[in-house]
Amino acid sequence: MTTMEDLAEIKHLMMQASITKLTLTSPSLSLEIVTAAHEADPSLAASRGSNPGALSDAPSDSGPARADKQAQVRTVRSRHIGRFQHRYLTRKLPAIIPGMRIVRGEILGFIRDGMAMHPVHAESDGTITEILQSPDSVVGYGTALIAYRPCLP
Amino acid sequence: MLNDALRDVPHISLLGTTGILFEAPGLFDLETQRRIWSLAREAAGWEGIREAAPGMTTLLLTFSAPFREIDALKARLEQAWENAEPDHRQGKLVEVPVIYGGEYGPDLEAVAQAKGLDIDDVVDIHTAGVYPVFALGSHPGFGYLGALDPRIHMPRKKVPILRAEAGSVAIGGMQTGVSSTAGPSGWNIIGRTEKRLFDEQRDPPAMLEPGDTIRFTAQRVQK
Amino acid sequence: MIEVLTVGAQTTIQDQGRLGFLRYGVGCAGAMDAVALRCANIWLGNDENAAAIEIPSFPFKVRALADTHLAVSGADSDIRVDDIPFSPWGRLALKTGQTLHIGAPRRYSRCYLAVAGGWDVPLVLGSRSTQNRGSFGGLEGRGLSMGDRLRPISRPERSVPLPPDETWLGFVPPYLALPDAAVSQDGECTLRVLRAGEYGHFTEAAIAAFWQTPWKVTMQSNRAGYRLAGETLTFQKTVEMRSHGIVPGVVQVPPSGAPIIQLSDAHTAGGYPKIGTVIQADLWRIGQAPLGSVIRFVEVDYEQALQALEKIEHYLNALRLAVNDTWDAVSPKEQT
Repeated sequence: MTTMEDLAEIKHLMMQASITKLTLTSPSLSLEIVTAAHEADPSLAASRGSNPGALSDAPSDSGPARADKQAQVRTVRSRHIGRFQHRYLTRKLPAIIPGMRIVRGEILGFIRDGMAMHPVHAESDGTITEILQSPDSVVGYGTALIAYRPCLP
Repeated sequence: MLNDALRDVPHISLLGTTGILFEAPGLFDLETQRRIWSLAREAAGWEGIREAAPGMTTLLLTFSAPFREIDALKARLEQAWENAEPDHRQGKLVEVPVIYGGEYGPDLEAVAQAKGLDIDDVVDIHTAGVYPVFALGSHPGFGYLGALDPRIHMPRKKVPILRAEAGSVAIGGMQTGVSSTAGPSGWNIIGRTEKRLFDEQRDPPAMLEPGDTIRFTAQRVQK
Repeated sequence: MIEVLTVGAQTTIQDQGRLGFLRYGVGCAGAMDAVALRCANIWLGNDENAAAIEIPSFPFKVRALADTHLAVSGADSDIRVDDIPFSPWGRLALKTGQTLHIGAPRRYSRCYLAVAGGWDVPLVLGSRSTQNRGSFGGLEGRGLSMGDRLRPISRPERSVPLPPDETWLGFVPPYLALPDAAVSQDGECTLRVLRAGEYGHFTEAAIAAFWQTPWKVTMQSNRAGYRLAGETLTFQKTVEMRSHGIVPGVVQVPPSGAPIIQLSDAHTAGGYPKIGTVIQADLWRIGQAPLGSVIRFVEVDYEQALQALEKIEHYLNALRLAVNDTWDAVSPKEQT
């Protein structure tokens, strides 16, 4: 069941993913999500079709109209041996999700090695495209953890 | 001790794993308290005891580390109490000048009414007393005083107030006392003094010691 | 050295407390979550009793006026260094000019900001804890204000206390390492209690209510005590007890029937009947229970209470070993 605490976390995640508006209508469920990018550049919406900000199955990085603004997807790799954890161990909802904007230096998660938690830092500003390891999975040196698309200056 | 029902044996109980509380049997009087002082002096030196803090015919012993042999400690306390002679120390006399009533003693009128007395009667009775300091406790430097005239005993308030000013002179149950710091209080405040009996930079920080005596003098009575 | 940019009420300097002055009416004060305080000090290689800043109001923001090694423990707040999201439960290196921002926690309620060497405020009666009633100790006996500057006590014997290239290193918090102390899914906090002196004089209904009620931590709760709402506990006879010493964790029941858990800033003596005492090992969990949250009591015996204390020490021992490993990873010539 969704608690008040969950709502606070959902709101926080929306902000991190630059979602500025979330509208739910029923019956038969029509869902509208508006991101900061869409607000800034309506032409993005046009390239996706007639329904601006419609929820799609594909993560945010698809769409040929954005190709000239995109860089190659890179991965953040583990520098330790241990168990991969998301940032904020005690919270129910995941702290890092695809589509989320990240900044250089941000702590995305940890490699837990006994009592120590070695940070996984974002190497540059960008957008997460995929979480490659589930929480608690054992990783080693060099294991790819998170895929992201860096922002170009 | 409940309802001051007189026990003939001490009551010993635990305060979690932090300390042990000893409640003396017998009367709520200075003779019993003198034996508590002796007990405190002895128990303060026992291994594993951080501090012996007397209350009103009670004694709290705090532990310096988790205490294992609780039953042995209880037995030791009981035995020490049996052997405790009254400590006949002679302390110093401390005079406390008080402005009674008005804004400084907001509960003075209520006490007078409850006891069927005039405000002046209450003040006369309070200033006539020579109060032995039984123990310090509650907040910094506060002395629990004995020998309050039963005519002005007044139960603690059902709802304490958030802030009684520093220097407040009050009555709580069978006890009277004077505070050196501001803070919440469930006692009936009958006056205020400018005298401060606590200074954290001093060693010891409290001016009062168990065995001292306090006399209150009426600087002024406001109505 | 740091400068306070943003601070809320009741943010005070605390160490583990001022012990041994009950006979002068001076209570222990000290950190409401002493486990979090000790953890933060262990991570920094401090004496475990080094003074930290206890933060119960948010946001809290400071700027480093010199390169500083800090640690943040306690509640799960959002931490930001120069607006870059970091994480609570770790030590971090702040460079001159950088800011540290601690936001409102999602769960739990108090954060601790420790510094390598401990915050430099005078010892008063053997402790750096802030004494609320009497306004001494800590920083001038008061809560922190905007503009306050705090420096650590210098530690010349360890001039490079931490690996030089490390910006942040975290450690597993008690919520995960001490599972029998965990807050349940519903956010309820279960506290283990030993019976106290007047337990036998409460009515049967009161006893049942004490153990079964989901007690709510009312808004009138603070460092002096947590006032609980739920049921009215009735005594067999209303009494005026003789004043006697109490310690943090004691659950008093005044005539109103609403229990109060006496805590760090409580009076050192009282005259109300006591139904139980929350065990020492669970005091930190009260310190992390937010206003409005639910608390339940469960009975334990003395032996179980001692074992609970031992579990905490085991956890802290494991932490010390893990922290030492993180220094051994640095080559000897970099450790001075």
